[in-house]
Amino acid sequence: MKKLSFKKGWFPMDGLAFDGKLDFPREPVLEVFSPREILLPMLQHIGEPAEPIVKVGEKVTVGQMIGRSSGPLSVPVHTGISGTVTGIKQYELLNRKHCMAVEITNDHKRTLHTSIQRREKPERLTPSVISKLLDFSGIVGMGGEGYPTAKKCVRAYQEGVSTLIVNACQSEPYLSGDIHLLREQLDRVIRGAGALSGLCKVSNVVFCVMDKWLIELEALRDAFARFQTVYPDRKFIVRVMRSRFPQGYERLLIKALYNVELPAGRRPENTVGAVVFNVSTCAAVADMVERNMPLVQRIISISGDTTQGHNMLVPIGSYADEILARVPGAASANRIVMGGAITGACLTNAHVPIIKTTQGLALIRKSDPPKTPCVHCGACIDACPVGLQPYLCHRLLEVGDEKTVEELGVAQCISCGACSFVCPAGKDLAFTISRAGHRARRRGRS
Amino acid sequence: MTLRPAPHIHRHASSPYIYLHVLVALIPPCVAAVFFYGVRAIVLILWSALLFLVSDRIISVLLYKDIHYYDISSLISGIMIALMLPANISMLHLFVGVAFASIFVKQVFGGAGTNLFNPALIGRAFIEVIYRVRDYDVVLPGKERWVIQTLFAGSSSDSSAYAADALSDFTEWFMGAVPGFMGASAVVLIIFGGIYLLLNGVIRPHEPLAVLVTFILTFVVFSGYRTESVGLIQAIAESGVVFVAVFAVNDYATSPIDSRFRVVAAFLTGFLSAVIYLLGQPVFALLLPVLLMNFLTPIADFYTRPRLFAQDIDNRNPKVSKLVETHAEEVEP
Repeated sequence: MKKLSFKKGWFPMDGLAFDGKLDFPREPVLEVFSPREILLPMLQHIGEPAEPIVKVGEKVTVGQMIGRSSGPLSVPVHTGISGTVTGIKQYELLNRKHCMAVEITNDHKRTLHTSIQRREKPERLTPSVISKLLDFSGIVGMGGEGYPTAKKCVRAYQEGVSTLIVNACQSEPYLSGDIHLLREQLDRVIRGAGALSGLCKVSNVVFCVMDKWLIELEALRDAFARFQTVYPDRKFIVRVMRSRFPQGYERLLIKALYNVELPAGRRPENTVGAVVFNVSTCAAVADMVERNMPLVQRIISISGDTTQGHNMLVPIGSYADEILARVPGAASANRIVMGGAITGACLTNAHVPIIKTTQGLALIRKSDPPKTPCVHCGACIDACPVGLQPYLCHRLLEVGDEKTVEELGVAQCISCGACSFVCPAGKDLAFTISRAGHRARRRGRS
Repeated sequence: MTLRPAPHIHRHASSPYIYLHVLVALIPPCVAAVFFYGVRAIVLILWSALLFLVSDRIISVLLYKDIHYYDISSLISGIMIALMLPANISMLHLFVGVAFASIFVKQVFGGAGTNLFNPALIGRAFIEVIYRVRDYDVVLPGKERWVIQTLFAGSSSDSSAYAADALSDFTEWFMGAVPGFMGASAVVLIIFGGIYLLLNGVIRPHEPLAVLVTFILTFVVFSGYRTESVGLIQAIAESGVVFVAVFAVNDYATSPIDSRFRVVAAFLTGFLSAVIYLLGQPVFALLLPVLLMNFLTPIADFYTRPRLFAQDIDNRNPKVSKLVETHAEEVEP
């Protein structure tokens, strides 16, 4: 099958230095984690924060709504553990936004909320019912985007899209939550994609899978044949992508599939007629339509150069330090990174809750390469997927020439970190350039 | 806890790692030089390399107060200058060439990575221009293997020994038994070094192949009736074009930063090299094409920019229906 991709970028086999481990072992360990307490920030998505609807001292059960949606771009928040609400406080998120947060202490009983029960024949649900379910479920784009899925479906329906793309290109090395879902819970993912496609009224469901996942490709084809009887009016297609970083970005996925380059800020819905959902999002939708379980837990990948990588199923709101206490080798890490090792953010303090968009935790011991002068090797130009000249932008930003940098197109930067990764001189290209890109986009809007 | 911006992992090819690999790749031609010219070659190579290192160090501390960064690319330039010189050069002349390359070609322009010209080639050309190395008679390999008394004065040897019949065996040509350069003619050993660099991902195969192919084609076309195989092999060995192809065309700092134009520059280098060789100037066939490309590099870098994503494309009205149709057609292989 033809392998699709975009230009440039880099291949993860270029030599990642996690002690020679190229990726996870084929059989990742999936642990179910039961934390002592969780903290649920009310703002885990793009838009307005939810409003807490519980009181301190109240007993809550798994799947119960904790915060209700407060506006058109807001989603509710549910608890993933049963126990007692011990506090409602102001909390500062990692992106410096403030919101209320609900603290819940676990009673380790895992009592389910009464509304959670298995539903027979979920494929028979009408779009209006699925839409109501999604509005209630609190599901957001779990690939890091954080856009409310229900709103995205409405938008896609209004634009009249014809294709639903399931993005299984978790191109960042050491993140393997999506591939775990495809491998172990493929039916769930297809069920979720089927429900979403019914809601968006599309007939083509395209799974984008990376070429290194050969076993999963075979399994996908088998499953499509099985589900063809359940969803007779859908056409399930699998497309193979080269395992190139950063293939998972939406604009690069569209470039690979349609050979259409979306400018910054343009959405695929009204340009190519496609809507993109993450694999984890589809699995969460399946939970909602099959047994009314809202988004209360997610798979995170724990990786690092001091530990064996593995995946863990954690309730949303679990503290990172409590998770890491169970990971052997976590104590010797110099850096704790929330998210992937390429694009994640460093934590000063690991007492931070996992939110709906957190894809993993990385534990880094290795220090950064030595800083040397730029040798003009051009590696950053060959890596940048949007065609910037990172060495030049970095130099111009060092001398403070923001205007020229903007003319060079810095607003197109997608903050993927490919330039810093390949730079032999150890420059913080991605850091300076993506910040300049944010500033340029903000100026462009105003 | 350390706080650093993303990304948190990096490719292991840092600058010192790249320079170390180039140093290792320079060992085979050095071996050839030592095999043919003995102690004299060892002394000259070490003298040139250390001189370049010390000179770079002093100047960078004086000019830039840069006392932390130890730049081992100086060693590479020093070794390359020595390998491109005939073995009867005197240490004093070598000193002048190295000092000029280090101070006026490398450090004045800002040190490693910011130099306009390849310092090794400029240093070699400088020696050629002011001392007219061709006045030294070319040394026949093996003849002065143990002569070290003349290290400071240089020596001249009998050029009549350089007869065509003595060099008819082309395996000798390929191993570098060529009058003219100490190590830059050792074709086979330089190719070993090049393969080492390729395997470690330091260089790409495109540029060396472009240089060699263009050189051979141009030579065959323009040399007319003199296309017998010895002539071509002699040209490859005598002009040092393989040395240029492996160690100079891929030089990060002085070649075009866009990989496509690096290949264009390599094609031009091979062409000019063959033409200048056919005009009867083996030394300048080695030096001039690369220096000319170095000169054109900033101009090329200024006018060639990679295409920005979603630039110059009308994305407002892509033909959606057509796209979807083509998409649905290619369902399964």
